[in-house]
Amino acid sequence: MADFSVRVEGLWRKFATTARGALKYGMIDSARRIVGMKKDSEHLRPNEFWALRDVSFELGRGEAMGIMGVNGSGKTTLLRILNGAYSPDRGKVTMRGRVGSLIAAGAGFSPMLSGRENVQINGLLLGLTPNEIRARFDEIVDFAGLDKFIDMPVRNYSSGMTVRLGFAIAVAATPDILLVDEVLAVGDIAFQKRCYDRMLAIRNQGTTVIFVSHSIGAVWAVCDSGLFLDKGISSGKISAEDAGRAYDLQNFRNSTKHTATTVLSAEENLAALPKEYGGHEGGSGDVIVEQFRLCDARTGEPRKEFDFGEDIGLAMEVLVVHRIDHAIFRHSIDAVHYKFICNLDSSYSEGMGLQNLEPGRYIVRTIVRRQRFRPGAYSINLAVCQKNVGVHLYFRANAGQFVVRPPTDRFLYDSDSLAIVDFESHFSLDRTESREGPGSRILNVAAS
Amino acid sequence: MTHITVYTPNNRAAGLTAIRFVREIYTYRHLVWSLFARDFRAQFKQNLLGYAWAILTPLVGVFSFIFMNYAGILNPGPLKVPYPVYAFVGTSLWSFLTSTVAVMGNGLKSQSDLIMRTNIPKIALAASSLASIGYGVVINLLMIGVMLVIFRMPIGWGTLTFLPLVLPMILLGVGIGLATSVVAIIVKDAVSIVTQALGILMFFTPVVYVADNIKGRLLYKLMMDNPLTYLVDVPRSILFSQKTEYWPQYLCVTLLSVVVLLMGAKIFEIVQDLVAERL
Repeated sequence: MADFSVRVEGLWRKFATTARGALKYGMIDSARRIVGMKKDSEHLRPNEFWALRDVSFELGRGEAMGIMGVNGSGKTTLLRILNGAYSPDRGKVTMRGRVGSLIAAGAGFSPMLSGRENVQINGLLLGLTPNEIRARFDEIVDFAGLDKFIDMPVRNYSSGMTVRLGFAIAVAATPDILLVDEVLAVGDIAFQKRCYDRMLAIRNQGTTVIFVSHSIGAVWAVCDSGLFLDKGISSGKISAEDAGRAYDLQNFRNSTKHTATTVLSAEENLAALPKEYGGHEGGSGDVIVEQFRLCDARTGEPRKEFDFGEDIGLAMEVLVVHRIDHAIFRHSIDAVHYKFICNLDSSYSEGMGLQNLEPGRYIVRTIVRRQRFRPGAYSINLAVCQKNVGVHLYFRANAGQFVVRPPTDRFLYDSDSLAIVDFESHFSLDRTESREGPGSRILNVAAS
Repeated sequence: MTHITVYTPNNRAAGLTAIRFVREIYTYRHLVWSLFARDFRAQFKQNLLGYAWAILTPLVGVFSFIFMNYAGILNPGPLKVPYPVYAFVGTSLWSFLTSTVAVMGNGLKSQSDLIMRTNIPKIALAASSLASIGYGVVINLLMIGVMLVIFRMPIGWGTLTFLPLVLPMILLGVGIGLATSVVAIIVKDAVSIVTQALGILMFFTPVVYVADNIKGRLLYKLMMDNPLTYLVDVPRSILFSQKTEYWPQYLCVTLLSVVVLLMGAKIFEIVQDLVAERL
């Protein structure tokens, strides 16, 4: 691409993990520079790690790219290198035109000074001349919706007002390249919509946007391409949808691994159980589930991840201590935010029915057919019951976790919503009135 | 023409540091001025004594010496001018060095927010502290003028020669301060180390006493070998008597100050991109 706007080639960046190391290496690197050597950036020294490893991409004018990744993946480091705060350790960044940054809007605001004075200073910080600031001042105040408050000290502004003003100045500067870090999720809905509209407008004017966000919805709305970072390793330039999927999947994996989440769900389960159960595993002692695993529905191979819509296999090895009449095996499933979203019960499901069990060992295999869990992380609770007995003979909360991967044939972005199941549905559209009807007027009122 | 920005591990711009810095400061002159005005107003808006602080600080600084002199503890020897004026001019000149080093040294640290979140050249941020240094110098010089009037000292065209003669002291301070400011971000106590060292150096410089009246031979020799002696003594002699025998030394030290300034700027430039991550 001859007409690139941002070009990043083989970018590497490392950091020290300790403050003492940062001091030592900072002094060494400075000393090397002063005597005319280059900084030591080829290898990792003790207590250093790579925050970015070999990141490359190229953007043309008017393109927008969303950078996604979990905390600590290197997003902010990348943005700071693009903004010139950090120097790369290897590789090269080339940017064409004026770079504006919206990294924490309102950076550089002085609380003591009025909004008007801050507009002037922040405009200068973004590279505007005093004349340009004067020419755009009304536009900025109007966009931020602050006309009455513009002469008030900024420290008396609400956080929303501060960010609105910061955003208004940054977009009024019409940079050639705009770096945005997590700032759109502020202000009321009407203001957020104005921000999105403005982002689209400046893109149409040719501004290249690089957008760091945790919100897949926001990235999807603003960007056409994406970059997914995982511990400093970049996916390269991919579609915004693919970056969103990769980010979602990693989040799901983390939420099954992350002890905080599982402990929480186990404790929440406890709260939902009657007190006499007294723990997240227990029962009468008549029966014990010795082993439980999730597996491939066809081969029986242990698995933790399943595609959207794919059959899920479950297997539990059961030791029956005393004879049980009319035994029922039950799995109940939790989503991250909801408990007991469904039960799978051997009493009414196909295949087994009520069973009388003599003491001994058994394997119970279950296949969940054509499941419609939305992409996400889920956990499974186990129970063995008896039809005529009102308590669980055995129960175990959070016995296993699994992840449903985002589908590749469609983009179900629901990390912003809390939806957990998907139903096949069909939409159709008919126009019932040809002019602007009363319905649209009501909507306008609601939005203003 | 579109501006192209390139970041590489070891950015090296061609040409002279000084020219590049002057150009960058000129490009961002409005910002430099606004940042200075902002800090200036923010500093004084909430103080009871407000702008009076600018005058009070140097006065209080010299008061202890005047008091010791009055009590007979500090005897500078025979003097042709009233001691308060002598001491005030001396401490003023000395403070041009120390306060410049301190303000420049902390200059980058205090702008850390802007370093992380904007792409303003760091020299422009450092230059905004230069404005406040200039302001302090002007206040000091005005007060020297006031003191000359109060103590009925002769004022002539020769007195005005004093003004450009204080510049080398400030240039030296800027040079040391620039180098200190980048190092201070990596080594947090660099500014303290440098200002403490200067505090000790003051005893080997005739700031509040007269070099010729020193009894100890070793101390006298150290003082005459100390380049700072000439930066204090020559302007002061010119102010009081319009003559000095140390012109050659003064010119040499002036040259040295310019070299230190250029070296400070060079160090600032080559280390500046290593500092952001330590903020």
